Amino acid sequence: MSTMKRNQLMLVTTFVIVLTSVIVHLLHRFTDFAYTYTVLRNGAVSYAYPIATWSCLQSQSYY
Amino acid sequence: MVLFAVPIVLLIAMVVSQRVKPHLFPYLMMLTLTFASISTVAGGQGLVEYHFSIFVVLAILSFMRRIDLIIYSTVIFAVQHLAGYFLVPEIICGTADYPFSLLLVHAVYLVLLSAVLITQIHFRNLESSRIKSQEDETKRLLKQAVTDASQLVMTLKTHAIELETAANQSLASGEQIAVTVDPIVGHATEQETSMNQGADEIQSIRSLTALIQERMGQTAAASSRIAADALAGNGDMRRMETKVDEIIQESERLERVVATMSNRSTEIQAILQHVETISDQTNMLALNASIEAARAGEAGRGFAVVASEVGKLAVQSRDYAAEMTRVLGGLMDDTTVVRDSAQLFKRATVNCQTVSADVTAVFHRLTEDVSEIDGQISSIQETRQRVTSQMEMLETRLATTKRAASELQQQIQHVAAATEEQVAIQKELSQMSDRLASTASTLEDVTGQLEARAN
Repeated sequence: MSTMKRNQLMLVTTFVIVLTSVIVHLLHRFTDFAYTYTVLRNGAVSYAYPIATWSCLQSQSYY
Repeated sequence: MVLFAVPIVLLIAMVVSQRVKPHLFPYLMMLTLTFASISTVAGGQGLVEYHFSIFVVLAILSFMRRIDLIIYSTVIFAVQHLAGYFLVPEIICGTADYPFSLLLVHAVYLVLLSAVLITQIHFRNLESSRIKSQEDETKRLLKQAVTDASQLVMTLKTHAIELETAANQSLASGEQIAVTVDPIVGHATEQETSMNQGADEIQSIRSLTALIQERMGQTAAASSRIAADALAGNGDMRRMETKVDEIIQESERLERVVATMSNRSTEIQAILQHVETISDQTNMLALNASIEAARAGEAGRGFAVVASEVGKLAVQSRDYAAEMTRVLGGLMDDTTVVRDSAQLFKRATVNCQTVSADVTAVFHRLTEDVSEIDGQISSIQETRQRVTSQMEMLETRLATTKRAASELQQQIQHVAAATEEQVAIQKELSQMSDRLASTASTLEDVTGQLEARAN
């Protein structure tokens, strides 16, 4: 496999991984995905360190 | 928000670096994936299930077969976990009271995974290096082979051209030979036909010679018979000449006898005339005596009787003399006839002697001619025997020549067949040289392509 094709493949793969990261972010910010599990585990606490992960918009919904 | 944006920014940097600075692409990819996993874990509120993304990231990075990227990513993850555990445990472990021992379990598996990947990559790189070296060697050999093949192709093309030229020249020569051999075959066939005709003619000549021999034998036999007859005729003629001579002598003697007889007849005639004269005188004397007797009367009567008797005897003597004269005249006439006949017989005999001499001469010439004919026949037979022997020699030589011509014809036919076969082979050779040239061209193209690929 040539370097160009390999880089393109890696680029696509990396894009998929980044996309999954974005999806995870969206799932946990705009849906109640794993919310019950999180509440049972940590309690009804707000989202930790919103600056590091997401904006304050999401933290308001949990408050 | 920061961890959410960092992978996206790094992904954009990846895209840019692929075009601008390709050597930074692996590092940016490692950072993008690593921080995407960190972002996933943080975005997933530190749930342990999202830690699997770390393994996915390392698995993806292992595809690059670079140990440094694995080490960098592992170090980043280790730092992220350790620092996050102590500083922001909620976005690393999902809870603030996550046991450190469990975190160490994370670290142990992370290190194990990294070690396994590093080991695999190391041996794979070793294998790749070995394969690369083999590939380089193979490539070098291939290049050398391509170069050699190119030279061989050039040589092959040159040889193919030379072979085609030689094949065409040989084909032209073969065709010329074939064209030249065909009339030779025709001439050989005509020669064989002429030989057969010559043999037939020789056989005919031999038959005619045998016929001539037979006729010559018959002629010689006839000539021998003629010679014998001529010799016999010659002997007969000689005997006849002897007889004719004897006849001539007898004729002459007869002529002399006749002449003597004639002379004696003349003498007898003269004597008879004397006898007649004496008879007349005696008659006259008798008459005178009668007269005298008559005169004597009775005394003379006896005398008259005697005179009468003497007169009678004189008359009878005169009659006898006349008769004898008449007979002698007839005898003289006969003698004259005999003399004439004897003369005629003599002349005829002389003529016969002449004819006999002529015939003898003819027989002599005939004998000589027959002898000459025998000599000529002998000469002809000797000549015929020489001709026969020469004909036999000629027939033998003709048979030898015929066999030689037949063998020559067969050899020429073999040469013609071999020439045709050679022409076919040369055509095949020419076609093969064409195919060889085509193959050389194809091989040249293939070596060109191979050389292009090798380079």
